[in-house]
Amino acid sequence: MAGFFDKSNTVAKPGFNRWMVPPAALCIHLCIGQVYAFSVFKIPLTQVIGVTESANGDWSQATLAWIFSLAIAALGLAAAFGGQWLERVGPRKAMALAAACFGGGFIISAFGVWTHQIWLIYLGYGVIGGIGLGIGYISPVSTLIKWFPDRPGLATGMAIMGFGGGAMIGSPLATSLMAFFSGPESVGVGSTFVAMGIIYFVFMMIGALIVRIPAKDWKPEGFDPERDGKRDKMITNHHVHVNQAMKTPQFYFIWLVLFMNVTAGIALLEQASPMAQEMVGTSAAAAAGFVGVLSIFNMAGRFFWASTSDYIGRKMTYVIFFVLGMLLYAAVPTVAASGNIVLFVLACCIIVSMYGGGFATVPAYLRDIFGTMHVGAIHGRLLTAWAAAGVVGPVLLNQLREGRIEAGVAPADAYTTTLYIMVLLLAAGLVSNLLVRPVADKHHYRGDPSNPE
Amino acid sequence: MNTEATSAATTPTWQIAALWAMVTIPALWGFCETLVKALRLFTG
Repeated sequence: MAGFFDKSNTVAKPGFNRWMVPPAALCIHLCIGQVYAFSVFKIPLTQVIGVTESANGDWSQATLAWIFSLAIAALGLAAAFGGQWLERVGPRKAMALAAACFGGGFIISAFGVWTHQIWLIYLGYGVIGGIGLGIGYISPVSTLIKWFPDRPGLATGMAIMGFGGGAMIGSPLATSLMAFFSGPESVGVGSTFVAMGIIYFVFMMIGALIVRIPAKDWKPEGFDPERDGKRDKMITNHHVHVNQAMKTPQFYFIWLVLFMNVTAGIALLEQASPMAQEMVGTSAAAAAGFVGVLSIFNMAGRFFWASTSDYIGRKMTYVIFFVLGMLLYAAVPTVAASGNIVLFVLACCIIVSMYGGGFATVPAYLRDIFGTMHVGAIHGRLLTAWAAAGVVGPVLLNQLREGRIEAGVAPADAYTTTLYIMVLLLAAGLVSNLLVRPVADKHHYRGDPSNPE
Repeated sequence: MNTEATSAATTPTWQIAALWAMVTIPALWGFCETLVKALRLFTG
């Protein structure tokens, strides 16, 4: 059976249609995107003993917050260190591992709920599930890029849009299952974890079974990489080994590009609800709806911007993110002060679409600069920028805001300074992006790119 | 060399359609749930 998962057995036979691969990738990303909806379990998990309300011995919100943090940390580490293994063993084995870890993490967590052992949930959903997240996130990326050398932005945009959309499925699915399994003596979280673990494992395994890698000499009809390479000097026809990529300035410039874009986006997403309430005076319910609208733009932006980057180029796409982002962040305080809710929502929606677009466009950017050989592994290492931004963004925003309030500034006005600092971060991202140039010839891989060392 | 012209002829269309339906139906369900909930909260 092990042979079935081997890379050599996943090479597509003549006649395989490449449009089978994006749904295989979506099988993975739509599942692992559930992590963004983990908050739906927060209240029920604080009532495992008390059922209708928190009782003595029930877990606190602070205790539960570690589950998500552990999962994101494990995601970052698994993506960074698992990328090279993924390139060696191929996408099917990696996807199967991701399915086993993500689904298995839910099952282990169910035992944690039933026995009320928090460490089992930390281990299950946090560590093991987080490894599944990291491997699952990067596993279809290089495969998609190899199948769609003519439209890499479109291909990776579809998959990474799935990650954004995963929460939209995970949240109502979890809510429905908890309603089904709950009763007078249980909040139903344990059974929901088991059901979701099985559903996600099966769905992800379907993706693993379907996925194929293209044959060595395959290319889409009418695609001429030599011609494309001459047309846009930012798209290389060479390959760079993942370890060599780490020695190029281009890797660190793109790392900063992603870091700045994500930091600014996370800072807004983190504070979207209180900002809407304090800056433009919406109700708490309307602010929650506003956050929902933002999540739709986050998802849609992933597909829209990544697809657009195939036509206007990756560098230009990030120039738009940073320049338009700077203008919008700078305009938000003025728009909010004018009380124009429609313009405020529109500005935030465009900002969040570019946050999602930054995630979805970066694999194609890496492919343009470093080639396809190790793009999955390089992408995995680059995702450390996401993890770093996940820590820096909210901390920076909260610290700055609290500092302003302590200095006597009104809560609604305290966001203004923070938003202007985001403009500076985006300016730094723009400079970093403009410094990205094609990789020097000395870094190019000299061996057989289909069988790298 | 394998090209898309040959692949389109040999991979059954129903397989591609079924696979896309399998991922788009739950995604659309989630999208509609989120959109309706968001609009209801936002406008209500």
